[in-house]
Amino acid sequence: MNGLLQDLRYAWRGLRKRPGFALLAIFILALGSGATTIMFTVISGVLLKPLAYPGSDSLVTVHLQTEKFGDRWGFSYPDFLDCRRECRSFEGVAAWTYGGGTVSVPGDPQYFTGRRISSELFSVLRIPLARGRSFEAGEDHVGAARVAIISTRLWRQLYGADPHVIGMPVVYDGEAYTIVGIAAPGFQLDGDADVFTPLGQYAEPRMRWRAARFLHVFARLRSGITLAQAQSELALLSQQLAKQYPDDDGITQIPYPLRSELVQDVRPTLWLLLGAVGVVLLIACVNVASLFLTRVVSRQHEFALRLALGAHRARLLRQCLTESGMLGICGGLLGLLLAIVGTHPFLRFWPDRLPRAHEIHVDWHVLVFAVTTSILTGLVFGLIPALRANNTAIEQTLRSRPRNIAGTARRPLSGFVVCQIALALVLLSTAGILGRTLLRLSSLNPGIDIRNVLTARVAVSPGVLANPAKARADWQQLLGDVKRVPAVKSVALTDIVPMREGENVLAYSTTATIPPLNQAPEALASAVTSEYPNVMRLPLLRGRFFDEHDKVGTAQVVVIDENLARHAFGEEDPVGKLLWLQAMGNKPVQVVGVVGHVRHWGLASDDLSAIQDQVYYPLAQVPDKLVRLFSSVISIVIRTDVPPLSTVQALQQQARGTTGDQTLYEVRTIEELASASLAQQRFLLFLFGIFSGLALLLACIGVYSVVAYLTNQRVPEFGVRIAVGASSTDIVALVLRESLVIIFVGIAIGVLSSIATERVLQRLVPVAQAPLTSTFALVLPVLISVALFASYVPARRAARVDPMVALRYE
Amino acid sequence: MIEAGQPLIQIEDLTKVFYTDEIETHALSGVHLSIRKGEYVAMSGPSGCGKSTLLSIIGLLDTPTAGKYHLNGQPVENLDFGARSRIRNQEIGFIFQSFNLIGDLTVYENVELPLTYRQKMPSADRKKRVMESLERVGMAHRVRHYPSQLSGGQQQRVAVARALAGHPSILLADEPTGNLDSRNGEAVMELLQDLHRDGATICMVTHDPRFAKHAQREVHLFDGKVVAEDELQKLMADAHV
Repeated sequence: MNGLLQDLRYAWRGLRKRPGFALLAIFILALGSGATTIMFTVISGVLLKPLAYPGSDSLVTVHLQTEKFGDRWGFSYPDFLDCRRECRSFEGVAAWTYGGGTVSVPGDPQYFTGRRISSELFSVLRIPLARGRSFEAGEDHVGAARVAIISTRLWRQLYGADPHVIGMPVVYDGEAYTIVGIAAPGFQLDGDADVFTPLGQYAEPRMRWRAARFLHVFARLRSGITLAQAQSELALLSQQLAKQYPDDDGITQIPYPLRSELVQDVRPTLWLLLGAVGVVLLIACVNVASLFLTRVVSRQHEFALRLALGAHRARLLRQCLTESGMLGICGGLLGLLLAIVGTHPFLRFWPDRLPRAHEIHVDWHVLVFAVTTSILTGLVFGLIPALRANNTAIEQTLRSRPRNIAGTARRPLSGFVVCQIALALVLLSTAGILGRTLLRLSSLNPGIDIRNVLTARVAVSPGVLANPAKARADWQQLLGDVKRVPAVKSVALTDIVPMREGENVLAYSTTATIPPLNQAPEALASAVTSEYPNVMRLPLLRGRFFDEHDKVGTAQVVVIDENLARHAFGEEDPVGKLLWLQAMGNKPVQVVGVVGHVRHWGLASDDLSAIQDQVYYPLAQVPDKLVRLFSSVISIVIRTDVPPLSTVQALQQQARGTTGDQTLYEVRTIEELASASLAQQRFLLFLFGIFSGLALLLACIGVYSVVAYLTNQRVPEFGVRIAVGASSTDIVALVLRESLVIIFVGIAIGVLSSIATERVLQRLVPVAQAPLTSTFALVLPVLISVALFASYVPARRAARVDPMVALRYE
Repeated sequence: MIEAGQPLIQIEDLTKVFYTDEIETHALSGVHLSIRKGEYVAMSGPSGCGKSTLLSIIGLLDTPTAGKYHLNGQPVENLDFGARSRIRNQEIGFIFQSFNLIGDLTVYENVELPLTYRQKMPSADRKKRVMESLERVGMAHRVRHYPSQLSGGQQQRVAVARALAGHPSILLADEPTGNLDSRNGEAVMELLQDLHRDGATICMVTHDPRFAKHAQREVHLFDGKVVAEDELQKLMADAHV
């Protein structure tokens, strides 16, 4: 113990004697470990920690999978009822779907997001309510008393946190509900929601339709039942359902752990980023190792003396490791501080919504990680120098006989530089690939003119929802009212908007016999009004678009995109041809026009989407029974001749409807949506840009410190060279030539590593595709120039060596 | 071209002053020295008398503070670094006390080193010169060895070969036996004598009177000045008292 204290004292004194070295090393390590700790904090909160629900390990989400497409589909309501009734592996099964509507009492009408939930949801999740009770089974049926659970936020906002709110009324989506409970603060169901209503109370047709797969299903495994056992039972159940309902043939119910389901979209990104910061940390370690080695080499005499005085080699090793460990811990603590300060600002940069973001905190897991990382980094960068110190040749070092000039530490130091160059190249080339990918994606034609187009979801007046004729009239009035805003050039309604969340996928066929659901080709279907192509500037390639004659009662028509035309009709002209759409029953629809393909799934994701075909049908031909459903998902798209966001206030004013309780919400420009569809790529590029810049800086410091040290060690050699006639250019050229060799070895290893990394990147970020050779052509000159500049400074200094001094250097 | 017997090195009233902080140290004061082509001169004197400083100035490793220095009839005291490098490379061969061979280079490469700094010298010529020099010092069988694989005497022979390889006008040897035992020291002195017999001009710094006797002429330095031998004895005796 005494010895260790003494080592700590020596280490502290040694570091104080060279504050520049200590501060540089701590700074470098803090950068590396700070970035790594931030990423670990995020990964711990999102991927590693159990969900905030009690007993969350037994929570699963259940999906449908088809044999052919393997898609993960949601449940239909009948499927859910079957699963809830039949499956014995679960102690509880719950379903939910998105909702939302205008709350008109109390206060002014205002749109709030909602969720339709089955009565078991809170009990399956084992989440207690803040007040009141959950829904009872008897309330989860058509015709039951209308009851609602509101969020804590809504309770505070509309009811002033009134403790007697239970039993009070709330008018939501035109219906009067009685509040029976308040959800716990912060409770989320795929994002914030304010009004929860019983799913089973909705009587719309899709609730009865087995092909309408819009429900998310959660379940809790019975005690002692494994996921595999539940999966076997669900497979059997699926087979039974397939016999009963032939359309379900080939569709299987599959359970997944809820935690992995919630975070599956961000998992690859998070691991990719952890890998990247790990590389930065590694560069930092190698960098400090090279600094530390130069320091150890310059202390050879001291180590030889200690050995001569009887120190054991193990003790010497410990002393070196104590010093490096002390630096590692200081760097780690500073890195932890960076993580505490920097994690939440970092999360603000995260594009879209990061699942479980509210669960991300610096906790004891992170503390353990940071301390372990800092100790390990101390050992990693301290070990090689420490082993080297331990190999000190006592007699030779102590006598310091005149000796030949040889770079005794050159090989390991050069190795460190090679590592740094190689690792920096990996990050640079990754950033290069992402940058070029982003450029490529940004230049892609979205298929529409995204400039000066505004879109918003419409919370239709609750009073018209129950009556299809009134609802249709309301849509028309909305179009007319909005068109009166001076800057508006054209306006249309649609159920889905390109590059925004929301989709409606239908199976189609060119024959009257639609193949089984799991084998039929599918198309993205949009119900739109006739002005839609003018608003979007969607190119009409053949035939016509819809007009005022296409309405309920007339022949059903569709317009298809060029992809569907090619897939369904090959080289034939599709105009006039018939198409059978799954949702339209047995009656065919006639193709009246062909339009260009729109990158609906996003600039980045559209090419990767399994659904490439698109079909448009007139909103006016939506049957009465579906008008209420369409009214709840309808959006408006508006082309303006001024910057579109400047018209929002006027549009809101005009869109209030006859009863004044109609609102527009989620107002965005299509340009914003297009930009957001590249947000992940931009975010990754931003971070990799920072990481590679950091790596470049560290590599630069590494090259500089190593070349400076080596040239300093070689002063006598340069003296000899100058004595035999070398000019300063010769010396500079010599140093640069030798640096270039090291740099090129690093580059060679870096190129191989980058090729491997590119494959990993393509698996994690499938859109990230750019030719590696041209990426190298872009980043290699940068890396070589920076590394050569870092070598030039000490080379220049070496060339100014005074030969008189150099030759007496020993 | 300087003929044998004519002054190869002509130094007049040479002064070298070192400034350290506010202290002014006169390393050389009004030195006059002439070395003829083919001559073997030994410079001796007590430690700190300025021998090595004078040798460095003669070898163009350093510049005088004042005075004139002609090498091969050309004034060289005010040349820039590049010009001095060129003359060092072509006219001067150095032999150092601590050999100063480069540890990472083989014997062959060490000897070749001065030739690599000559523009447009074909590698075949370089090879010929290197091998001739190594044969001259009896080290041709060790071309692939590294300095660490040689004894001190062998290393100094290689250093001599390196000095010879460039066919310099003069060999400057700074205590060439200082790091050698007496047997190896004698061997190196014999080698220098052989070279002199073959026509080489040699200027050697030594503090060992035994080795100084090998030279044709001895130049004594004391406190930065050239003095006669009897005067040196007197000054040494005075300094001792």
